[in-house]
Amino acid sequence: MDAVTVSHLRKVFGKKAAVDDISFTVAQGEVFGFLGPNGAGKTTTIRCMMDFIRPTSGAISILGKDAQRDSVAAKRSVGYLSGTVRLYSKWTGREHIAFYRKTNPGASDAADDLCRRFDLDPSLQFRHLSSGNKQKLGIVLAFMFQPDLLILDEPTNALDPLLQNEVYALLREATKRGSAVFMSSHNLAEVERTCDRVGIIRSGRMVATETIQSLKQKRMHVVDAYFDTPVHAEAFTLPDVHVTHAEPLHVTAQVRGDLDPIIRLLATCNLRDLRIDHAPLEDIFLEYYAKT
Amino acid sequence: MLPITFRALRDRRISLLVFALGSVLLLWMYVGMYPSIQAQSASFQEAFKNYPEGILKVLNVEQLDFSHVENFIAMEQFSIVWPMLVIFLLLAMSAGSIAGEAERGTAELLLSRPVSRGRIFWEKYFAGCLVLVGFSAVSSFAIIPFAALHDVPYVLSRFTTMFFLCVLFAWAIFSLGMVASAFASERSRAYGVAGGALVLMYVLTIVSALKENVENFKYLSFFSYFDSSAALNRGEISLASIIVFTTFALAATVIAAWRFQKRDVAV
Repeated sequence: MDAVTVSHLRKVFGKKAAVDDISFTVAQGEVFGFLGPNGAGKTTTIRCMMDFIRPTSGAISILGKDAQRDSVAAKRSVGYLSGTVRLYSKWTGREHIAFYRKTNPGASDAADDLCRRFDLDPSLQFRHLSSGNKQKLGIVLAFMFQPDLLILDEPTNALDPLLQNEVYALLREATKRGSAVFMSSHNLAEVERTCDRVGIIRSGRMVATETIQSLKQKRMHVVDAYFDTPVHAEAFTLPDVHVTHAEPLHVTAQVRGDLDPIIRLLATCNLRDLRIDHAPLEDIFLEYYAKT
Repeated sequence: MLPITFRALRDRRISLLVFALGSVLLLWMYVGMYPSIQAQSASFQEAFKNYPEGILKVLNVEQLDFSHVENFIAMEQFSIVWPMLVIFLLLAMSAGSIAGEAERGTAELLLSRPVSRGRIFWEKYFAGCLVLVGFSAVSSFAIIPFAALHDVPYVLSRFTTMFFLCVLFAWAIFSLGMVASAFASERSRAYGVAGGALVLMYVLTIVSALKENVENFKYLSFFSYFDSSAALNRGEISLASIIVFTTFALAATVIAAWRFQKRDVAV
């Protein structure tokens, strides 16, 4: 059984489809990264999964339970962290933790350990916390019951690198226990480091669902060529070649797919130096965003 | 056990205390004033005779007689001041319960918990009901110590009737606020819609009292059914008042609960 199954999800606000026919699954023990530019539909998808908003059509299953009809049962095993942690301004961290305990009675929790681990003082009112400490409290609340599924909207937002590493360690511990993680992120290094698979959403549509490994293996290269005699950038107008930088003695191009045509072309030039690299993950994502 | 109700009450404890204290102090002031007003009863009666009938209706004055404290309290405390207090108190509470949570983003916290939307709604509704019953009780039964303090005779059963009328009126107000809150995503909008409806009702009460040709408009206003004079002078609540307040409160509550079940809470 998958931890999350989203089938043909569509959510329309007025006349605009914020999410349009997206489908994906998240397996048990998997970290699934959800990527997309601002306004792509990431948060709308997460809100539908959490039953904060109701899908126009489609189905969402959380841990084998319908996200709407059985939302109470599903949420017993779900930890949620909002992209902008908004809690009760006059409650202390301890009061938030106590409220979480009362609304999930009988469940054991690790809130006190997590507070110590993140060096969070739970006696302060939420409104008196710095943005980093607000995020820490949100993380404590999301992880405290050691849930089977974590739904995290940009979990390392506002955290310094040390604490980011602590969150990554928490994610590793969670997946070791068999928990699934669904997280949205803008931080590509974070995605590369923590996720097993990614879904890329653009303008409300899922444009790709790939493993990190297969994304990296996409045949996309960056070619840096230096010449002894000037060349014209127009000479590099080839299918699947995109010139990103052009000077008379230096051309940089992104190449999608087969390298052979550009290598043949370069062989006819007076080359001084040549460097060919696999494109970074960021460029691969940008390629998806721009062209799909 | 009812953590959402408990938190709703705890978070509003200061404003509840201030409103309750305000209502009690006003009653104390009126009871304290009453012996001197009673001594001037005849001259007040004479003065009221010159008032137009419509104005007396607006002021909810049934009898031009201050020979007993009930009539004085009905006119001073319960004709305008108490309804205003309860409206401010309950509309603030209802607007904050759903629309306010959505606006602040704290609705996400509630909805992320393993608690059904129905339970969230009814726990918040229950908190409101506790407040309105408590506020009505404090406002009505504070007469007991103050009457004793100032040696003013009163009929407890009439203040008990007044308490029930207050509960019915407050229930209708709170339910109106909850239905506005269930549809709105901003606290101010919920407050504005419900408050606007009540201002309109009040205008209808005044206009219908002053103009005979629109007299029937009074039936569209809660204020026409909040007959504090009848409750305190005769110990009566009209059947129409009971039916209108109860029917409206039940219908509004069902609509609000249904809407909260269906709506997008975080947008």
